[in-house]
Amino acid sequence: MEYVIYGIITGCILIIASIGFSMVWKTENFLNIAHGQMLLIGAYMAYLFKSVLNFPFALAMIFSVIATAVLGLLLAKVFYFPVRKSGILVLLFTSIGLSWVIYGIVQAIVGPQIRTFGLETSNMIEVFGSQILSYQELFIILISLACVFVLHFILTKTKNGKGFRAMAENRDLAQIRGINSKKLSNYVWLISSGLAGLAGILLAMSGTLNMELGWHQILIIMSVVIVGGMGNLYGTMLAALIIGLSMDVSTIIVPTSYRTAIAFIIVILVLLIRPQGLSKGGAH
Amino acid sequence: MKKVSMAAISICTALTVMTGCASSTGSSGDSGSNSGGDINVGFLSGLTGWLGAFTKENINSIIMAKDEINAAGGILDGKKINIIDVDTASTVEGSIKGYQKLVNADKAVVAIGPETESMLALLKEAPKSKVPIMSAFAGSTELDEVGGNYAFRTAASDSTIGEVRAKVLIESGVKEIAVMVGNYEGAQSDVERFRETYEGLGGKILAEVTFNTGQNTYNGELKKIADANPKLVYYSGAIDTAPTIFKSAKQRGYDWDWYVTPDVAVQEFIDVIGKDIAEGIKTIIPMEDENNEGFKRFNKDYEAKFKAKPSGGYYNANTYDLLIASALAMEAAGEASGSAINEKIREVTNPPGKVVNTFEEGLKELRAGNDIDYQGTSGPIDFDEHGNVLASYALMEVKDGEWKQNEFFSADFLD
Repeated sequence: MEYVIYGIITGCILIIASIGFSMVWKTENFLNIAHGQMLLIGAYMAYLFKSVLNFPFALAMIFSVIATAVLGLLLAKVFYFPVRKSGILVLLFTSIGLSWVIYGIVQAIVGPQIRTFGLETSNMIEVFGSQILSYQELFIILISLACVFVLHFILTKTKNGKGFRAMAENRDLAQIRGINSKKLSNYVWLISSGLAGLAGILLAMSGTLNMELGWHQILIIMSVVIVGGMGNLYGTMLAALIIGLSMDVSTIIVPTSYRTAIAFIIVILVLLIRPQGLSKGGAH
Repeated sequence: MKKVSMAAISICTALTVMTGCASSTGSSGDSGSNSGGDINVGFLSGLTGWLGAFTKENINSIIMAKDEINAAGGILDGKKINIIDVDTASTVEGSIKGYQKLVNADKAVVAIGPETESMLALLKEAPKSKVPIMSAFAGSTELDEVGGNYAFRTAASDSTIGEVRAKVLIESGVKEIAVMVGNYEGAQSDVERFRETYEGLGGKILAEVTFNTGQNTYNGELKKIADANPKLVYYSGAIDTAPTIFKSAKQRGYDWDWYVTPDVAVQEFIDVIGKDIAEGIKTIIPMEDENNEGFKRFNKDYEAKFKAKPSGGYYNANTYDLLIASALAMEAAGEASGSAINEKIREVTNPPGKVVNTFEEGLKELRAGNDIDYQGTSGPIDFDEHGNVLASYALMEVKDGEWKQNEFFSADFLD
């Protein structure tokens, strides 16, 4: 039971980290490698607000997510939008280059020191007589669920959400039918970067802020998105949970050092059996 | 199907380019102050990346040694030492590129600083280039019998430190423990000899869990340790994973005693995991007796120069000694070259010879035509045929948010 809970926690962080990546793939049609560095920016923004400017942690989180979202949009406008017409490979290389630029700039500012938010260790919650979950981990699960529900609501109940789904299917057709793809694209970058920032904060909450945070996550994020069906948001969410659970539950029978390898074994299996991923693609 | 193919092409391209870029992080970022020195000495280490936290104090130590040498008038009739620092980004690729730069572009006579993996990678190249590689903190057992020719280290071997650790635990009545070890060479090597000695002395390892760096959580790994119900856990891993592991253990109420690898025996470890969690954690590190005059002088001078206390676990005194010993070796050989260092370093640091404790004393004796035996600030530093030194050790414990020396073990502790 404990391993299942650990897997859910891992999966929940992966959900938040992967959805944005998946959204950008779906609408812009390229792998945004710089997404990993947005996690890094989010974490260090929160550190700036919490530990340098002495904001309460909740406020620091909110400001950091907003700041990362805005920064993500600005970066997209400066670096991606102008080369959009040049094709996905140009976008891909731009995103890789941008990753290193962000990494270098953050490193120049913060230095190589490892930092933490300095949060108190949270207490454990008793579930069925045993302590298997901390309040901090419960917070991660709840935040993740909230993101899933809010996103589901936006996609299914709002005009912009429906527009996003249409744009995801066929950008040109959506534009012809009067959907403002420019505006929607801005929303996608805002949401994607904001969620990446949030994931970065959640990761740093339970561990440390270190420069490798973005690089450590991007490969797992990519495997989640592949398993989920490249751009299918619900598939991505499901894949994040499956990969999270597999990595943690597998440690019961295989040595823990193979934990990450399990994620990639799943990717290989999915690509062999079901190349289109768990879902067919599309936003729903 | 078209989309799937496009995705596959994108992923392949991304991975290829990312891997390529990852290698290129190792390119040397020279920030050496070219202040007109006559002999270039390379400081080759990760100023960024996971070693970054360690190297800042190492750089201070090497600068301190350089300033002392230059203040004493330099070597070989007034030649001054100039430090060229090269960032390896804490990667082996970076070390190889950085070493090439030091050898070919900077004409450095020695490269001080590589960690275990980089020492191993440069082992064959150093004799060809005739520029020695020297490490203050490469403790791997892999280096036990392969150095000595253009490869030296003032770091104690993991094999001896593992033996000391095992003996101390057994003698203090700890007969059952669990081990958490990182999935990389440095950590594995750190545990290898310890495990062998500990079990040989009658100890039992209840569980050994290997973990990867950079994971979101380590709950599963900790649960495996908890299932073995140990009283004491030995942690051999990097500093960046430590907060996640130690905080989770505390959170889950795992009330184990902890011993940690010397690699994390630094103030930063206490700062990142928190004073309360760190209290009582112990380690055994290669360290000079804090009452030793040379070590006391090093600490005092360091504090006066950099307005901060040096941390024992950063191997600062070991780094300092490497440059002093190299300079004395060049003076003894009458030549500023890597070959001169390789040829004479044992002669100036090992007995017989007049015992000297500082560079200035050593220089005076050498100029008077006497043999010398330099006693380092990190210990006697007598290099054996494989370029290793015998070290003394200290049991350190976190008390009131600081590493404090609990007990000192001289180099003959294992005899």
